[in-house]
Amino acid sequence: MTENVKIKTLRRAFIRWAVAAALVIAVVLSGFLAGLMNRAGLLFLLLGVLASLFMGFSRQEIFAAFRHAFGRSGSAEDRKRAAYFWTAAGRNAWILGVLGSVLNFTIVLGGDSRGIADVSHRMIQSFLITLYGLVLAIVCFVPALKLGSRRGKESDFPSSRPAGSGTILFERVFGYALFVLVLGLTFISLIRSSPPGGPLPAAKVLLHGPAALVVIGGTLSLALFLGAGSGARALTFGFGMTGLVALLLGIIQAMFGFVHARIAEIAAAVSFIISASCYALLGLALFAAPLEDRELMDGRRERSGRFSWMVWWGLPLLAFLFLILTFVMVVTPVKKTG
Amino acid sequence: MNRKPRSDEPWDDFLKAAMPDDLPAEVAAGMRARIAEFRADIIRAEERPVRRIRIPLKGAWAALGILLLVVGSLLQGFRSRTPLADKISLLKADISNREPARSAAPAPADREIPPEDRPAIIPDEKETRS
Repeated sequence: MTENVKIKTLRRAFIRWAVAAALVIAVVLSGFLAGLMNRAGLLFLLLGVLASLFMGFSRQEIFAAFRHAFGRSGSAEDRKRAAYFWTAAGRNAWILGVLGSVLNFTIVLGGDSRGIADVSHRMIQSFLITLYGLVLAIVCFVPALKLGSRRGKESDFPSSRPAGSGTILFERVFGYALFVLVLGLTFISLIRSSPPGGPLPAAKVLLHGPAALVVIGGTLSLALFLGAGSGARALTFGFGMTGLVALLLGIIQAMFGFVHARIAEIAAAVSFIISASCYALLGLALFAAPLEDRELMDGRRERSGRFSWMVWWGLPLLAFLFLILTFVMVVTPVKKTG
Repeated sequence: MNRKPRSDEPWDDFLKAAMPDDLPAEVAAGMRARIAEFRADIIRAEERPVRRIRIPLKGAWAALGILLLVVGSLLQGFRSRTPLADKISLLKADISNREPARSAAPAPADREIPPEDRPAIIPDEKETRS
């Protein structure tokens, strides 16, 4: 009896996922979304999210979450952990989506161009990665909400072993290595797609001294002032607040640049905004969020703080809005006076 | 002198009644070893200048963080050149040269507007006289 119910549940879950996959494939093949394709960005997002999950969760936890998403039942505790895993996956998709846009935007600005129309087109293309990130986040929230809503009900099957916790050194190393690989592949792909004429080396474009110093210095100071008791939340707070301050600093400088009609000042401000948001988002995705996930899964903390969630969702949103502003600032002509 | 009323007397009596003999030798030895270990830990902790090292280290990290923050802000304020900013400058200059530029500078107050460009709201004095 129990076996029959189990098979039925799995079959139902499989059909649901197969229909969703068929729908997505049909839409892609129809050519309707041909203008909305950014392969390098999609690759970065999918593999980046996978890498970020390995940074914060053990293999057992990841497999258990997938099994629960496909309809496997378990104890309330197991479902709770799986629901948190999918919520974290959605969060990572959102952060990495915006980060992908920022990186793509930087590469486009650092590369050579066939004219303004070409640069503008490629800058707009970079916003697509945020769209992918948002869609992927929504997809990840479906199992999270389903598992969350089923919490508290009596289990149909014997409880599975709680997902493995403790040290996840192997997963973490694998996650970081995969992320570096994905970043490298994305850069190669983006640089290849830029027109001949010699774009600047990616590292040269991405390394913005002042922005790096502000983000790292600010995060370090804030994390130390908060103390060890705050755990990984201190890092989330540090990266979030420093990113916010840097964005505001950049936009104020850019406005002064427009008032003084100085292109160099506007360019310095725009590059600062882009680089600071890139570093702050990288810090959130690679360090703060995985460490907070680990604290939760190890039982060192009961729940992640509301402030952390505000930072995880708010900072990428602000970074995206500021990216749009920088696009407007770059394409707005200014009478050069200095 | 301890003026606190002794509330553990019944327990003392109970323990004495339950264990009238001395502790077994191995239990007593174990207890002595535990006590010696406890004392040694305290002495070691007092000898180790952990606090004296940790606090300056934390302070040094905090100072370094603030220094980085200040240096970064100053570098940005003094508009230090970066490859990305140079690229954006070139692109923006290109856009500004091609597109009709909007000047941010205010128009001079004593600028002479030719009569043919003047708005025809107020009739020209010469025309009215003639």
